[in-house]
Amino acid sequence: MAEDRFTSRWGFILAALGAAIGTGNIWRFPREAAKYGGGAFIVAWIIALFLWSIPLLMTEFAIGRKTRKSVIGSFAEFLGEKYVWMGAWIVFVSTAINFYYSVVMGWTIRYFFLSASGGLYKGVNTSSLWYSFISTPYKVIAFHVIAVLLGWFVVRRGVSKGIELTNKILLPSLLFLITVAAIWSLTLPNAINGLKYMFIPRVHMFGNAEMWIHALAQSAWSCSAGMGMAITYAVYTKKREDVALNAFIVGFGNNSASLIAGVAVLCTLFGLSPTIADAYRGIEAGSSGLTFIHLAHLFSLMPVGALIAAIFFLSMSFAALTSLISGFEIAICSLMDAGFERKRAANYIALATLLFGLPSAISISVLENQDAVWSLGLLPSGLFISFIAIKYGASKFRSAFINTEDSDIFVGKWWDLIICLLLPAEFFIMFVWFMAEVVKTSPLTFATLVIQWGTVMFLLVRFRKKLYSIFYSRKEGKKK
Amino acid sequence: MKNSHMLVVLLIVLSVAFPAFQGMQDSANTAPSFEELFSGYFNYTSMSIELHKIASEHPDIVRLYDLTKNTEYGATWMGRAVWAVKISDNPDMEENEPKILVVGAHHAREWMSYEVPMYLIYYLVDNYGKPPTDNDNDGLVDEDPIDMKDNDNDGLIDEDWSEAQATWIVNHREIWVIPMLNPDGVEYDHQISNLGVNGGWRKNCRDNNKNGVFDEQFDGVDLNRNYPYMWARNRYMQVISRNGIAITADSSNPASDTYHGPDDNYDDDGDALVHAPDWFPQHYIYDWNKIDEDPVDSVDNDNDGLVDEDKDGGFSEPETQAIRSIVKTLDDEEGTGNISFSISLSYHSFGELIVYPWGYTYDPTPDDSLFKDLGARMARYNGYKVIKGSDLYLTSGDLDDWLYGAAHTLPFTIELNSQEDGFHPMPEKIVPTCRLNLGVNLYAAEYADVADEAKSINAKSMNIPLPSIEYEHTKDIALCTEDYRVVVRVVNESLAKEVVLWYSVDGWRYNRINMSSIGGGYYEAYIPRQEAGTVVRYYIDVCDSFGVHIYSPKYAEAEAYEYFVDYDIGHGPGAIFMMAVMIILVCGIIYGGLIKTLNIAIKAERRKIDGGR
Repeated sequence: MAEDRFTSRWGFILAALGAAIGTGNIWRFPREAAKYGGGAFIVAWIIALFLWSIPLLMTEFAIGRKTRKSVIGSFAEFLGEKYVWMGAWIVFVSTAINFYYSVVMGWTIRYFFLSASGGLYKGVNTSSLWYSFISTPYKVIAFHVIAVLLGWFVVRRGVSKGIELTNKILLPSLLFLITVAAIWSLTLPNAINGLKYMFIPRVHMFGNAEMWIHALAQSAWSCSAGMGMAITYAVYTKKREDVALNAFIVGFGNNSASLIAGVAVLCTLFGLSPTIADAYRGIEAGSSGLTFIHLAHLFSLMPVGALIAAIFFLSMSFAALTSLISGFEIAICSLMDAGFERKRAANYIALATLLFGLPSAISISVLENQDAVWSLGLLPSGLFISFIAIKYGASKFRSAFINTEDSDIFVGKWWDLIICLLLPAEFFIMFVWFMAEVVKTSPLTFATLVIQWGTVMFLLVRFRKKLYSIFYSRKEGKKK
Repeated sequence: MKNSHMLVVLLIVLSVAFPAFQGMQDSANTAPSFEELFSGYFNYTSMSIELHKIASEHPDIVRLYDLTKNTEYGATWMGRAVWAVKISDNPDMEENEPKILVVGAHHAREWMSYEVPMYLIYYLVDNYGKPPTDNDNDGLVDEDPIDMKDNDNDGLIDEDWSEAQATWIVNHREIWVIPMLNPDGVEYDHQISNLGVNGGWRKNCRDNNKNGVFDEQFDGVDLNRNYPYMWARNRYMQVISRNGIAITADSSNPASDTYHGPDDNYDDDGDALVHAPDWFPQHYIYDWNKIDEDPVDSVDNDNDGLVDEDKDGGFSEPETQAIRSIVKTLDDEEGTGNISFSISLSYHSFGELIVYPWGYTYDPTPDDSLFKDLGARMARYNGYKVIKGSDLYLTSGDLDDWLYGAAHTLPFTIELNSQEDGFHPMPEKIVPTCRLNLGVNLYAAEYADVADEAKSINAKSMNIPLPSIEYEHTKDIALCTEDYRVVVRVVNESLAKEVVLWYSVDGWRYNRINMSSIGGGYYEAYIPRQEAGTVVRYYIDVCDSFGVHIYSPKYAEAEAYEYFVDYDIGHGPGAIFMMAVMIILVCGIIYGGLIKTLNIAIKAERRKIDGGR
């Protein structure tokens, strides 16, 4: 039986890029860059690429390629029964995020149809449009269902015919579309202000800890490093695949997309807002506020804007879909390790996403809570992954699994230092910082975080023996 | 599951989602949302429910009172309440700002006369606190107020009104609205009258013949003849009304439609009780000459040092007593209230008129010319004809004569709709009439302070000399390293008592800076430099010695000028250069890195293929 793999290196790279490039590149990066000092933020963000994202991606690609097992299986293989719960945590967090991510993808699909059908005409009140949409559960649910179905349709067709094929089509398309939007935005009257706010470095921000932490976080979340996606996709690479160079390509590729999106969003925002204070309000409005209220309104002001809006939201939908399927795949891969057939596993995961995403579809406060709770869960995920390399011995790990004879570039000792020293330190700083922020802004949310994390961790650690036997030491486990 | 099955599932889902698609084309309804409540007439019950809802939903600016609680009987004759709504900021306090009274439904069959005040209430509470909004999303803000005209010539009517004006009015005025003064009469008229048909009941439901039963033939008092100023002076007069019909101006006959209520026959000032001579069986007797001896006519008729303290009639009804309980008069009338109203608008129908005092005599009031001018300015909104009350026909004991004569308020009566519309116009007329007269209410509220000053200096019109501000806001970015300079030109500088700049940082409280004169009528002030990333709002405030304030922008602080404080790496050529450098650097690293790594990969793949792996 032919093994279901990526048919080529490029298929793998495109899939990884598709997973990495998501709504975060398009609506979060521009916001953060403008807010935290433009050029200064971008410098910090590029530094973070080399000091967090790419090293972690390398680690993940190495792990997946070596074990050819899902995330949970990889942890079992490297660290044994004692630490298999770490792998389970990673899978759980990514899956929990996926539950509400499909709702978000539903939003982008809705707005694509809205703008394509002329719903963003001049004069429409985008604020009430958004709030009435959000407060009509059945509408949000409908699009959530469509999103899940689309993702399900892709993953059940497998890696080469599903994931790879979809990414081959959607990724270039979305890049093309967002580039069109960016070029259009550069023609707007005050577009230069957008470029100013994006690139001019506010030098004093270099002394601002919050900026550095946010740049680090943006790079981490945007590249999907330390989330289990990279391990999972690496499992399906052909037998002898490079690890290090691919990590660089994915890192650079993800950042390239962010830059284009940044131009598209910021030049539209600053180009069409009546005053700079107004544009700044858009930045302070949060991701959904910026995208679905401010940008939607600004698009509606120009005659060709409705078309650009459709292009913009379509590219967002594509980005969301390619990220959604990677989330599905992390869980499906694990289920397959437990003996399920792909199609079966896909059904279960899709159903679970449908059901458990419903609360987030019905109430946006639930969604925001889940977002706050589980996106922070990615921080421990990253730490756990680096823990594999640390426990194995960084130098040993590097020479065994990264600088293999299939590697196209040589990774030097710098990687050891980053993994052993920097990564844990960065994790610790970010963890403390963001936890403190949650406590400050909403003690209630922090309480729900503690409860949810505590419950999940407790269960995973408690049942690690079970996890080990289900996901790793099965007698009739399918070979990849 | 086969692919075909999945397609079926997808189709099912899509068909369920289709309604979601349908709902996507949310219409941009630019009429105020509360107008759907005006598609039919309120009645006493539905109005009471709505007023309670409004009061509970807007505790920051609304207080609801049942004024009958302050009257002798504690309720109307049939046990209903006379609801009064006070709309103002700090509604529990009495502030030093002009007060406006808006009253509807003195007369039972004039249904439109309680709709218009209700519309005003909704308009104010609905728009209060909202920022200037581009309601119709056409890029212009507040360019087409609600007045049944296409002010901006775009083919649409009344689609973009000024929220700031509503906020400003509520913050700077106290608006008292009594939508339905005569609830008993209105409820009775709802029973006996039909839409589109004229006639109907006019009075309240007083049981004149005290037989315990309400009977049209004998009962009811005309509330608009029940005020004590010059009460019943014209009781015997037959007058010809404008449409040629002979009517009684004012009547002592309880059966008459203009019955002014019973004589007072009460010793309001308590001076009729005199000591009896010692030989008299009772210790006290009544001096009948000291009952009702000082009627309300601005004259100390009994020369006892008090003016108008023992009326001969009027305020016999709980409804009119409700009004008495809040109005502050300049004489010694008993039972009056604490509020000095600057302007009052009493709604009636029909006639399409704006009516000013006197009603009881053909003589003009001392403020006749001011009334004509103020009336004409309000008439710009509804197009009604401005006339003196006596020009319509003589009356006595109406609300306006009492408000002007006893309290020196500037009162107007507004007769809504035309004769063809009649007393019970079809419901489609409600919204247009309300919209048409909204501007009248807003104008009266907004310019009450100017009216007060005009009245106090005996001006002939509202066009009194006032200071004003010429200013154009041009700079909407400031740097965090510089103070922000504001220069204004004050017109009629000699009348300006104070010129003040108010500014607020990021929505915090407004701070005050006295502007300094730099000659030629120009004043300047500097707003101190702020942290980068903040938004500063500011406005200018000039007042005259009477206390009238003029603001720039007009409805500050509901609207204000604003600017954004930016980092000191400004926007000059140096910054542009920096930006270009950064763009090249960043794109170089990222795209350069991408291209380089891709190149390596391509070469590597080619090598691997050639190497036969």
